[in-house]
Order: sequence, then C-alpha cells, then structure tokens
Amino acid sequence: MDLDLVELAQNGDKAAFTSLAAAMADRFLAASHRILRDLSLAEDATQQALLNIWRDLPQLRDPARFEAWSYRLFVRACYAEASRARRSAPNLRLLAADEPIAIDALGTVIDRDQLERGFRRLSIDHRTVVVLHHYLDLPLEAVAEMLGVPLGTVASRLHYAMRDLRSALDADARSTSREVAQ
Amino acid sequence: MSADRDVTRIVRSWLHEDAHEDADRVLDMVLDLVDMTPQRRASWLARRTPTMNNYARLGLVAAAVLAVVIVGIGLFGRSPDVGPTTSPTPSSASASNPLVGTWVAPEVTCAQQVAVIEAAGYTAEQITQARAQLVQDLEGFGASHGPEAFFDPTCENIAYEPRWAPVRDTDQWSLVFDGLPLAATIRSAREIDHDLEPSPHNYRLVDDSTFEYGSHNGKVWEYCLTLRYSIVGDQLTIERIAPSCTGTADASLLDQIAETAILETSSFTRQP
Repeated sequence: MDLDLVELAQNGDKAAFTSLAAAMADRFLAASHRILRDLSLAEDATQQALLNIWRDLPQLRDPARFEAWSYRLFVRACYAEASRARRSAPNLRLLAADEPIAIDALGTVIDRDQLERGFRRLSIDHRTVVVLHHYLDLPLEAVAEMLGVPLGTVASRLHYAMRDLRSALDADARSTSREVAQ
Repeated sequence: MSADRDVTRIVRSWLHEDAHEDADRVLDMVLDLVDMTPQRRASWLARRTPTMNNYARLGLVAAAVLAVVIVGIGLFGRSPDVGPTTSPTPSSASASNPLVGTWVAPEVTCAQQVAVIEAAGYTAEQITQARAQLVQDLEGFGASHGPEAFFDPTCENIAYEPRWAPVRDTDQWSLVFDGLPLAATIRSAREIDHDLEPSPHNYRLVDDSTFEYGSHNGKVWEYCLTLRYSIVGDQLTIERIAPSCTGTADASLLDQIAETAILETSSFTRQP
C-alpha cells in the first residue's frame, strides 16, 4: 500500500482516496460476498466500509497500519450488515446451488450445497476468519491484528469453523452411505 | 469419510470459485458519497501520548493464553477422534447453582495482575517460563511473535493491541456461568474490544463451595483446576485449591498462571 496515498487521503485528498478505494473494492466485495453469502449485503458492506475508511482515515495514527486498519473497518461493516439482515429477515434466503456436485481441479468431489449449508451455520466470527485466512490468504497473525483479537482466538475460531465444516461434509458422507446401503 | 479428506483444500477450492462480483458499481457509489461525507478529525492526538503504548496488559495476554490452550488441546489434542464432547455427570447441586449468571471484576492493571500471580506463589521466573511455553505453542500455529510478546512479568513488553486503537491501561474480566450444570464461559471484556471471543470452558460443581474448571475431551478432563468459591451478597471470590481435577494430572504451569491471572484477580460482582 502506498503510504503517500494514505497520508494524502488522510488530509482529505479525494483523488488519493479514489486510488486506495479502487485497490480495495474488489477484495472487499469478494470477501464480504463469501462471508455474508449474499451479494446485495456484500455490496452494502463494501460501500459502508469504504465510506467509513474515508470518514475515519484522519484518526489512523500510523499510516503504515492502513491495510490492517481498513480490514478491521471492513469486517465491522460485514458484522453490521449481518446483524441488519438478521433483524430484517430472520431467515436469510438460501442461495440456489446450481451444481451441488462438482469436481475441483484436484479431482475432489465437492458438495457445494452441503458446504453452503455448513458455512451458513457458522457464526459470523467464524466465517470471517475462514474467509480472511483461506480466501484472502492472510496469515493468522494478520487476521488477529485486523480483528483486534488475540492470535489464539483467531486460531480457535478457525479450528472450530473447520471442524464444523468437516462435520457438515461428514454428515453428507453418512447420508450418502445410508442411501447407497438402502 | 471426511477424516480422510483434505477439508481445508476443499473449502479453499470452494471459496475460490468465481462468484461474478463487480465492484465498479459499488466504487462509483462510494465516490459519489465521499463528496458529501466529511472526514472526522483525529481526536486521539489531544488526549494521550505515545508512551502509554508501553503500559502492558497481562489480562489480555491471559486471554490469549486461554485461547491458545483451548486451541492447542483442540488442534494437537491427544485424542482427535474421540467424538463429540460429552458432559460429565451432572451434579444435583447445580440445579440451584448460585454461580449461574454474569460476574464482573473491577478493572485491573497489568502490574496488579502480576502482583496477584506472584501473591499466589509464582515467581517471575515461572511467569517467564510460562511465557516461553506460550511462545513455543504459538510457533506451533505458525506465529512469529518473539519471546517479548507475551506474559512479561515486567509489564513492559506485552504487545497485543492494534496500534490504531485507543490504548487502555487496564483490563477487566468477566465470568459467565451460563449453563446448567455445565458450559461456563469465561470472557475478557475490554472497552475497546467488545468482540473478543469468549473462551469456552466447562465447569463442574463438586459441592457447594468447590468447582472444577477445565476442558473435557469426551473422556477425561484434560485441562483442569479445582477452585473454591464463595458468594457473599453479590460478591464472588475464587481461590485455586488444587492444580488438577479429580483423577487428572496437574494442569501445566502455563494453564495455572493463566487461570490465576483471571480467576483470582479480585472479587467479582454479580451483574443484573
């Protein structure tokens, strides 16, 4: 991240902020879509995160921390959208899974529908850690700093999230085995 | 079975499938709104000095310790395939368990918590030894925190705060006993970090004044301490009376110190 751009944007330079926002928007939208499982919510979260970053940027003490700081505002925006969605629609619409069964590049059978359901059952905390680590490829230390929680907490969230996703896949495997047996 | 699957690889592959997002429209809307959104000027410059960063907070470190302990048990546990956690035999005493509820301790500084640990009989050397263990555990997670990062008995080098966040020089613990007869949760509360993950532990009542506190892997208590509690009015005080639970080995020094930092810091006041 260009520190000069950050400092310029801190001082109200909208062109500098435009450059920063353009660099962040794709990642934010992709990550929020995966966390929230709803494109409309993800767009709202991304928009709010970028606006909050603009609004609060002068309060960032160390421009070198911009990336971690901006991700934290992004995550908060995702949490806010998730909370808003829960209030307005107790049961989030499930996305249709076009191809429940697929083969990934490594030949693994992926049951998208099962993963989708398993992922939706995760808490927003757990989803966020999974996406930041396994989608954005951020190391756990960076995730901890972005979330403002201890490293052990992040590792714990990831562990339990992956355990639950494994359970979701296990349930699917057991179900399939029973069907075959019948 | 998924035990043989590479769940991580499957999840990563699934997450990386193209989801057809287009951020241009969102970006255009943001840039339109920026023109109407004034920036908030920094207020922290006026109310604090950078030297306050060095004021360490052992309490938060203990939260990290607890979380690491829990995760360590989960990730590197002795019996990864023991199945779902089962509850120990419920105690009839828990039916009217006066512990149930939320208890909050006064805010404490790092130095105060270190004093509590030392008053419990632990030396600075043992605290340092526990820190070394923690660092080793963290390295097992791929972390690169140096040995200065945690559990510093001098309260000078404990670094676990986002640099952009307002700095507090105190921590505050709360205990939530939220289940009958098990499933107590311990939670660290900080003014600036309300989203700190509660660290789930189980408790098991032994009698009207004693409970065991630890994690249960479905077969045995793996991480355990025996504690005496006393409730007077709306005040709860806790004292460790044994470094293990019934039939278990002693908890590690790291676990014991972490628990001491939290549970014996002070009395807790019941919250409505």
